[in-house]
Amino acid sequence: MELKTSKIGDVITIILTGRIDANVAPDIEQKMLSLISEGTCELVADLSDVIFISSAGLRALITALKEAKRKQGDLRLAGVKGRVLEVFDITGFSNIFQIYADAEESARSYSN
Amino acid sequence: MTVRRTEDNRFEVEVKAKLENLAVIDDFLTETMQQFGMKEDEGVQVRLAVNEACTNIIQYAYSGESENSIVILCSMSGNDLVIEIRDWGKPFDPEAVPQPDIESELFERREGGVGIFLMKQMMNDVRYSFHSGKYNELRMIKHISAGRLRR
Repeated sequence: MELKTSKIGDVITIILTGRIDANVAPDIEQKMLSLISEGTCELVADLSDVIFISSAGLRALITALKEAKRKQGDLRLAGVKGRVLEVFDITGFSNIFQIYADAEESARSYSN
Repeated sequence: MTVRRTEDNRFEVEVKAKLENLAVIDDFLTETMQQFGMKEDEGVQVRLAVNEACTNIIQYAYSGESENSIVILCSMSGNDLVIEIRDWGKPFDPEAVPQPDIESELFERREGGVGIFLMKQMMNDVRYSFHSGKYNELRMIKHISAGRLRR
């Protein structure tokens, strides 16, 4: 799976699209963990164009969040809405992640 | 992928137990639910539940990707969308999986059980049955607000 990223200031945003399930979650996790190991510990994942996220997708995000926090960084989310937000709410993950309206706001939050 | 529409308006697909086929299953469901006239919003909940169920089959019932089959049948019964998912792997009882830990802090949180929890939250009824020597079947029901089969 080819993952698109963008850079706002010093913050890298990973753009997730479509179905985030067990088929694509390992690639997403790998991408985020390699960015963190290279020293980019302040990350944003933009979920604006995600149709649904399964438990495997949630696990990938949590693994990256834990690793970022261990390195004094963070993984903040953007564009979580509708049925995707519902999944974050009912699993309690919306209390664990900092969630912003869009990628720009999420990236800016690191300089506040 | 083989999709069949039976005379009693049941839609059926059979795929091999590969993670890449989660997308094939999802496309089949999306198309079928459109035929049933379901709202997209309700459809997403069903697609997620089926994705979780089929992932469990691949990873646990078949212990990983294989050439084994997964069969999915979709039908309408009144205002209920009925999904039956069959596999020929190890019997697996979702009731035996403990509820996930959804209130703990990040580093204290126990992992696991989230997939089955989501299936139960997204659907109105989830039942598992083991047909000895034949197949395992997961039957899930979603009450839908405006189901009408397009003919």
